[in-house]
Amino acid sequence: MESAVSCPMYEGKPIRDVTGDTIRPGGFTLTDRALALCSFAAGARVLDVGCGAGATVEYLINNHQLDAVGVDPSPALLEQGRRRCPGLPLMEGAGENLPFRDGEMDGVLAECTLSVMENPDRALAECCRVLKSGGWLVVTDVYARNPAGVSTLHELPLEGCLKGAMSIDELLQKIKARGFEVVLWEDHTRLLGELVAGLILAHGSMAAFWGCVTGDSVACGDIQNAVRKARPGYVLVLAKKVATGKE
Amino acid sequence: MAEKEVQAESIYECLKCNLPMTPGKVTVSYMGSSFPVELLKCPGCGLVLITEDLALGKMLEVEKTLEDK
Repeated sequence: MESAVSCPMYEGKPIRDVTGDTIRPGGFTLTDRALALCSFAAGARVLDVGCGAGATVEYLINNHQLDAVGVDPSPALLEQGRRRCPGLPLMEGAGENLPFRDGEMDGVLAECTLSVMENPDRALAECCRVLKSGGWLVVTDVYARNPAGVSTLHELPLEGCLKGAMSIDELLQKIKARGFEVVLWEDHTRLLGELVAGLILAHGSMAAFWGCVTGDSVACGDIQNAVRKARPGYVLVLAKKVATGKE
Repeated sequence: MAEKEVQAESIYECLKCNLPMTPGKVTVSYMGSSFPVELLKCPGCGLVLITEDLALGKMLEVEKTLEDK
């Protein structure tokens, strides 16, 4: 296949026109759902890993009265966030190397971002490190409802969540292996369907959207075949950091 | 698709109001999901035009997506 498209899908206008600044299915729908289940106290310290332009950090501060901070490796997205809301606590950094102390956070959110990280295992270990014992990890992400299609997605010459989608078993296993107890997972594929529908209405077809994203450098038939095989869905996972007795 | 919709704009008029159809914001719903889209609409009575191209093009693709097929 062709070499990967250099501009990540989440930085581009074709998807932002439909998702707005949250750049994920459902916008704040699952953020609200997760926060209702986690019941953070006002002022709780919460990290948004892969915060992009900081829409969720701003939302957590203004709508949920949390002491939120965001980290993202994209200078372009961080700059957009700072321009939109000067003083928003956004830091440049990778999920695999979080610039925070051990046990500093009451909660960590990774909304549609684990799948775009180079090393999700390392990122989950970092999320665990910066959380207090009993702290909440909130993951929402694209997953492959047909595990047999995962390898085809990984081979796609794209940068974005689709390429990094895992099966639900693999995702839950990775979370558990890094020191978490999975409290619940829920399928929210409907939200992904609605995002795709929005992309079709905005661009005319998914083929046209993929053409926009890749600059027609990738055969959109390859992408659509991989999608058909993997049957991407969307999931919310809530997990708690298992107490280690060291804190 | 967009080009055909622009062409349609100059062709269609509302039979009831005798007014040309013009692009306007419309909310379309399917299987419990709603989407704001711009479609040709009568500025008088609000009648919305969905051309065959539109129905068999992106609207059909949206329906299949929401049907999860």
